[in-house]
Amino acid sequence: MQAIAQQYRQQTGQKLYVNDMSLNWGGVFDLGPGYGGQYWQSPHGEHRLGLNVDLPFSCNSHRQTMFNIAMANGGGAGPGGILVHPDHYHLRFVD
Amino acid sequence: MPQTIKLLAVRYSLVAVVALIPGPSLMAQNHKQSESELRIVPRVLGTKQPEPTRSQNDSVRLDDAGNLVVEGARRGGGEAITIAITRRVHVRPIVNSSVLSGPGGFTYEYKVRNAPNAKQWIQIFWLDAFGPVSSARAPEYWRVYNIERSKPPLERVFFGRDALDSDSTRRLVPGASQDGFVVQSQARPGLVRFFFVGHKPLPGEAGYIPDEAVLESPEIEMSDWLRQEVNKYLSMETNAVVITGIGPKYSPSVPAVQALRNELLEAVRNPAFQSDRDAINALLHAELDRTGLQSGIQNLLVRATGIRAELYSALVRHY
Repeated sequence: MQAIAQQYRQQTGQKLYVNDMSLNWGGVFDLGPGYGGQYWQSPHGEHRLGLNVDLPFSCNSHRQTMFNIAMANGGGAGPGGILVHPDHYHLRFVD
Repeated sequence: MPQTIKLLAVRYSLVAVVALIPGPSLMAQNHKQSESELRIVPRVLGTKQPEPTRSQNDSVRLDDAGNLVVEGARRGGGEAITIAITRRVHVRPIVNSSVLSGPGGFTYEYKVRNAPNAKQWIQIFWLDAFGPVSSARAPEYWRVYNIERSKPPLERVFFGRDALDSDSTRRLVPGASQDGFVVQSQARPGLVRFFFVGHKPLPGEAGYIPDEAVLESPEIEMSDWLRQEVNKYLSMETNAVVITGIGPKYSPSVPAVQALRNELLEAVRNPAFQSDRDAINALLHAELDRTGLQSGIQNLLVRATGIRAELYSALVRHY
């Protein structure tokens, strides 16, 4: 992810914004209802694996460049490749 | 005697390895058994997950256009739905390769064309080179995105569009071509794979369909088997058009005869070389040296076109 962010900054001059990045070793990281959130549930099921990252479109305007950088740096190497959501890319890395 | 020492060394090194592995049952076995009875018991970390099972209605297939059709998913646990996903395989790439040799090694130059009957423009492509790639460069509006070296000797060179999303200059749309993609390497030429990924319209672009988002929708339930199968068809290497071209393949230390024979063996298995199959098989069975092989390849080159001409030419000139 660092390589992706650095290359995005280098090519576009902009910071790369990241959402819902898995923890290093996977696992649940949301706080639950008592803290204004909700317990881990779909659609973020895959994020428990420690291999998934979302790149939002709202903050990252160079979407094609972002896709290419992610693809060339392992962001599509996991099973299922890179998924395109209405508002973000869902990256899948391999372990 | 030396053989005995060797065996003892192996035996005691195994004992050492076993002793280092924490595992009560295994340690107990070590104490109980004599050295001659020592067995290595593989230690399994964690519990092996069972293979996902296929439900009765689960089905994943490609339709005539090469798009994914998924059956067996349910909306909210009730209504069965069919999911259709457009893949990134609607490009028709044609690669023309030329290989030049110089003091610094080999320069591989590529012209890429997307045939007029393609439905998508080419957004990114990569080639799987073998042996060290010293550098790569791309034409304007394109860029070398990475030379990925995590699995040597494979070196994966990525070329992709480098322009604003709205800028269509030099896009490889259907019918367009672009030259100026260059790879430099010490490795001699052979058949390598190229992967081409088409552009799917993004949200806000004409033609966008939110088909992939369904796969992670909280409303959609799919069996693990179904999800696993879908992922197979959408992975980086399967959701791309794969063609053969000429690229860096053999390090200079590989004997020429071995490389030439390997390439002929690979060509025999490639459908593009079907018309030459008998002639290539005859060459392979003749037990020829380098000069003899190249003489035979030269005869094939006389009437070859396309990828066949490119390979034969490279094998005659650069070995």
